This record gives sequence, structure tokens and C-alpha cells, in this order.
Amino acid sequence: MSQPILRAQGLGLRYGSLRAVHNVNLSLDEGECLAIVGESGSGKSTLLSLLAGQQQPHEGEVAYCDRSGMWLNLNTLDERDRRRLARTEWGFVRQHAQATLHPHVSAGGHIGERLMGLGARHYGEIRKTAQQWMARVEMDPSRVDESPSRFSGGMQQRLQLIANLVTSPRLVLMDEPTTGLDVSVQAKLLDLLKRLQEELGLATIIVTHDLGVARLLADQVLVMVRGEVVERGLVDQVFDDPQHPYTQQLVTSVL
Amino acid sequence: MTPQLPFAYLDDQTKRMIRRALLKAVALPGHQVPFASREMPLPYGWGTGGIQVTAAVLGPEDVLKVIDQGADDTTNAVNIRRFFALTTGIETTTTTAEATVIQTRHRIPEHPLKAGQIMVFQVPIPEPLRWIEPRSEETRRMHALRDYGPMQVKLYEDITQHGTIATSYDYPVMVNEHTLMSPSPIPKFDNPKLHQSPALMLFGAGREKRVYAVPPYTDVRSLDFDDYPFEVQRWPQACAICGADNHYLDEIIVDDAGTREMVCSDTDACRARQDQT
Amino acid sequence: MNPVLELAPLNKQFTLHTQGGRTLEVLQGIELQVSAGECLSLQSPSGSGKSTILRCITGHYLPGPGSHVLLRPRALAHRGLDGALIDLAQANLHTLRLARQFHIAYVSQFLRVIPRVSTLSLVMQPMLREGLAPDQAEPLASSLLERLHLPSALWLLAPKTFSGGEQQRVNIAIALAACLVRPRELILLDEPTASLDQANRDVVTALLKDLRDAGAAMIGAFHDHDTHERLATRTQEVH
Repeated sequence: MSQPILRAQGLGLRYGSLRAVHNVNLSLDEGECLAIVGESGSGKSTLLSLLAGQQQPHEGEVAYCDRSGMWLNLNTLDERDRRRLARTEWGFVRQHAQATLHPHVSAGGHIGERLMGLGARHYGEIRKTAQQWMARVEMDPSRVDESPSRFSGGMQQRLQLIANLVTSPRLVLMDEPTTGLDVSVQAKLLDLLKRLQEELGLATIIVTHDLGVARLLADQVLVMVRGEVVERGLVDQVFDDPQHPYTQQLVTSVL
Repeated sequence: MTPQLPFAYLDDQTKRMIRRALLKAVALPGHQVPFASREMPLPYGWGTGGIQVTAAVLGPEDVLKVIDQGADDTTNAVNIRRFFALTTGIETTTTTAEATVIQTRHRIPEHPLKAGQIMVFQVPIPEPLRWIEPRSEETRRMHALRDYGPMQVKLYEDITQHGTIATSYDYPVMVNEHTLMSPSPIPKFDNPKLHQSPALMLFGAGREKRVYAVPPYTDVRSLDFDDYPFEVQRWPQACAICGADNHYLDEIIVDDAGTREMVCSDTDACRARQDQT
Repeated sequence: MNPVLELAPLNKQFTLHTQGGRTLEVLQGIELQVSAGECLSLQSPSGSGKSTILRCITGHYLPGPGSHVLLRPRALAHRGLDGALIDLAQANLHTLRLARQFHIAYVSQFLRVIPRVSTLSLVMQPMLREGLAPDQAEPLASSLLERLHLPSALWLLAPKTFSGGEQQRVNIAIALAACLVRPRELILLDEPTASLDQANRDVVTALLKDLRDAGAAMIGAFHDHDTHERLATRTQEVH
């Protein structure tokens, strides 16, 4: 549980003359949580999409170590392989669950989708697996046949999360997973994320503007300003002994 | 005075173009092949795809049968059969066993097909994923990457909402365990006839400009779940005319009082059974 | 015998950009060594220097330029560090993480845990990470909590509502849990008995003494004289 799973070197992406991401290096171990912290416009979401292989960088590369121990360059990966990895070894949780959840597909259908995409063909077992996952994240399993439009925001996020976790991914990327939720709902979701990370040995990358989220969940923190990483370190060092002026300002301004 | 038309209405170049598309389709069972659909003397939605495919494969020795919802004698079936008789001079028939080419809308004949026969299906919407994913760029990618999970999810939802898979016609199939295909709006009752058939199945969609094919002796499996297996329709009654209990039955109103009867949809099969008994 | 940890030397300054770039020299040229079975007690007139030294060792604070924090870890098969001498002051994040996870235990003054997890689960987690099955970790965690005189009524509760002394004992249990499965070469102690009464202090120091005698190298900041007396095998003044 201590081997590197993801590496980025000299990563850069431009939109015209604007450098959305510039010269980013990082390394993530199995089971490690990396928080990418920054204000809106800092490039953190763009960086996340590069790390997920959803966009091609203009400079540098991203490499991922798969379940069999093979290092794959995400830039040169075949689309077929990228999709397969995205469905089996990775997860991606967006800020707004509504973007990924269809109102006409039940909770069970959402959770079972990856399994069905991989050939699962027993309705009863798929539904039961869905219920087990719902129970695991403290959702009421009897609601497995309901549309997600009937769920609260926090529940929708849990649904999005477990829909990703059914295939036991090794790496889960999350873009502001708790932003926009009520504070108490956020707290519960963060607890859950921490617990699941631990139980499932997930490596996670979380983009957030909220330092509290980073402090609670992360082992490693990247601080971004205008597309560049100004500070990178273990979470206690970044918070308690920040080096860069921006980080110091950020940390002292937390209420 | 009948005008001078090429054999089967289409010029040679067009036929060649369609045949090339059909060869590609046969080489890639279930895969939708685009073709340059021509203006035909009837509007889109009336079988222009099927007619172009039939026109491309007919030869002077062929015997043509045309059915619409199983019947040889509906207006559309009669018109299409006459159209080809006029433009080719070939023999036509209503007997399935005698035909070499059978053009159909929405049914496969009850009489088993044999090697050497060609079924031509009229297809409105060739894309089985259309109702799940409206963007054709995405459906093409899904086929290329065999990303068919969403279709299975749709069937899952049917069971969740209705207790059973609700689709009764145009029921999606996997061809050669490789490609997801729409069998055209035939009732699911007819799906098993596609599996390992000795006949060549050709599908033409004129408005959507696609052809696809299932070569003889190809595996065609209707999608289902292990615990909710695919089932064909069954009726408690037999055909009121010929007594068949294994044919697809239509409900028809036989008098002004609204009396209903169940009769065979396949008129040729019904007549053949009557002749036997 | 080769020291488990050597500062050769340790420097530390803080640059406060939010205060116009003012620089605070906190540590300069600190040198020390500690070997297996030793407990080095750091003494200093001021409060902060000792804590800062301990934090610089794990990289919680970044050691300043010119620092060498030399760790001699035990080689572990398949994980952790490989037994060669490493300079934690120059190490990358991956190496630092491995050092913290497998080779160094750190008992701090403050309990920082995720809010709603039970005390027993919190103590079990490091043991599970060491590879124990839950039915092995539970009795071991229970016996540790018992040894620290934490009443069993509290084990299934989250520690947030506990008294200061109870929280500190939970803190110690979590910090040392992994050591009970597989000993750590280096144990760092930052006021481990602060907020404990006499009886509980005894219990904690007894536990720490056992770990020291079993071969751990310890460095401690002990404000409490009693703890210092019981544990320290050597003393060093730091300014």
C-alpha cells in the first residue's frame, strides 16, 4: 500500500495564450489522498481533468500504474483502454450530482450501471449489490428503486460516489464533492469519504477551495495560483509551516 | 405508356454503391453502414430503405414476396410488389417457400426460411441506442467501444418500473455477441427467427441512410437478465381461421357490433394451414 | 552502535511573508543522536524549541537550509524504506510518508481525529493498516485502552466529548497502536503526559518504558519532571 500510483511531470495546458495549467509535477501513492487547493480560476479543475485523462496536455505527461503494475502514459493511451480504466480502476465524482444522475434511472440502476457495462446480468444480484452499497453509505436501501430526483443533495452525492465505487476503483478523483451542500451535510459526507478511503484503500485526488476539507481528508496538498503550483507538501506541513506567501495568507485567513 | 426505366428502377451506379455497402454490412454483422440513399417514388417513412436494398439485390431469376405487418394484401405491400413487377418483369408470389427475396415491414414469416433466401427489412430508426443517447457521435463511440451498459440499464429500469422488460417490438439484440442491433420493429415474437437462420437478413433505413445485415447462421441473442429471461408473446387463443396456436396473432374487429377475433398476422401461413386441414 | 536518528545539524527559521518577510531564527546548528533503547530528553528554557525539533524530524515543519536529519530505518520487505541511511531533510514526499507510516511514531499534544468514529475503531485503524484482521485488532486495541485505564464504556463513543485527560490517552493509544503490532525504530514524544493526573501519568510512562526497553529509540519533550525521571536515559540542552 505504499507504491506510487500516479505521476505527473511538467504538465501544462493552454487556452490560446492563457496558461490554464503550467509546469505541474506531482506524485501520488496508493491509498494516499491529494488535495488540490486554490481559488476559482487557479486551474485546479483543469488539472484534475488532465490527471483523469479527459484532456490532453500541451506539455508534459501523466502516467498511471494499473492494477497489474504496468505504467501507462495517459497521453498515448488508446481511447478504448482509457474508457475501460475509467469504468473499472478510476472513479470521478463531480460537484453537481445532477450532471451525472438521470432522473429516469433508479438508484439501483445508477449503482449497477458499471456492473452491467462489464457484463453483469442477474437483476436480483445487481439490485442487492446496490442495496448493500447504499447501506454502507447510510442510505436507506429500500429506496433502491427510487429516482434520484427524490433524494436530497447530500444523498445524491453519496449515490454518485457509490456508483463509482462498485467496481473497486483504485483512484477516485473528486471535483468539489461537498461544495454547495449544507454544512452539516458536508461534515457527514467528509466523514464518509475519509472512512471509505481508509476501508477501501483508495487513492484520491480532491479539488477544493475549502481548506478545511483539505485538512481533514488529505495526506498531501497542492496549492495552485493562476495555473501554477506554489506549494506542495504533506498536509500538516502546508498548514502549520507554509512556505509560500500565498499559502501563508490562505492559511491565516481561515476562520 | 410505361417509361423506360433501368432494371428495378435504380441505375447501375446506385446499385453498385448499395451493394458495396451491403457487402460491408455482411462482413460486419449488425454494424450500421452509411449509404447514399436516393430519392425514391414514395416518401420517407414508406419503406424507401427496404426498396433500395431489394432493388440492389434483385436479379431476373428472382421471385419476390412483399409483406406488410405479415400480410401480402395490404395497400403498401401490393404497391411495392407491383412496383417491382413493373420495373423488373420478374415473378412475384405470396407463398413464402417460393420466394427468393422477401421484403417485409414489421414481421418475419412464420414459415421457416431456407438457405438462399434473402429477407429485406424496412427500418425506421436503425440505431438501437437512439432513445437512450440522442447524439449520434456518442452512439457511434459506444458501438466502437462496445459500451452497451446503458442499454442493459434501460432493461433494468423496465423491470424496476413494470416488473418485466416492457419492450414488445424492436427488441434489442446482440449480434455475434459483438454488436448491438435493432431488429427493426418486428414483434419480439419474431426475434428467435433471426438466430442461426439459414437466410440472409438485410436491413435498409432510407430516411436515416443506413444499411446493416445479419449473415446466415449468425448468433442473434435478445438482451435479457439471467433471472428475467427473454420470453416471446403468447396468446390464450388460437387463430380463429386456421386454428394455429404457434403463430403471431392480430386482433381484428369483424363486424359492426365490435366483435373481436384473433387471427394470424401472416396471411400466407394462415392460408397454408387452412389448406392442410 | 549506529544511531537510529541523527541531527547533523538541524536549522530552522520561519519567514513570515504576511508580516513583511520578517525572519525568525528558531533553531541553529542543533546536533543530537539517539540509539535504540535510549530515551533522549530535550531540555530548554523556552517552550517552543523542543516541539519544533520534533516536528522538523517528521517534516511537519520543513527543516531549514543546511539541515541533515539522518534516519537509519529497519529494512522492511515489500514496503516502507529499504534500510539505507536517508536524510529526511532532503527526502521527497513519498519517502517522508513511508518514514512516518512505517518507521516513526509520533505522540503529540493534541488529539486530531475525524469526528464521528468510535475510540475503539480509531485505535484499531493503525493495526488494520499493519495487516491485522479485525478480529485480531479488536482485542489488541481493547487491551491497550484497558492498559491506559480508559473505561470500556467510552470505547464505542467518539472521543470528541471526552475530558482532556481521556482525549490524551486516546491520542497516545492511536499514536502507539501500530507499535504493538510491529515496533517502530523511532518514537517522538511531545509532552505526552500533559493534562494527565498522577495515576494516568504512571500508566502512560510504564507503557512508554516498555517500548523503550523493547528497543525503540525515543526523543521526548517532557515538561513534567516526573515523566522525565522515569523515561530519560540521557538529557540534552537545546536553545
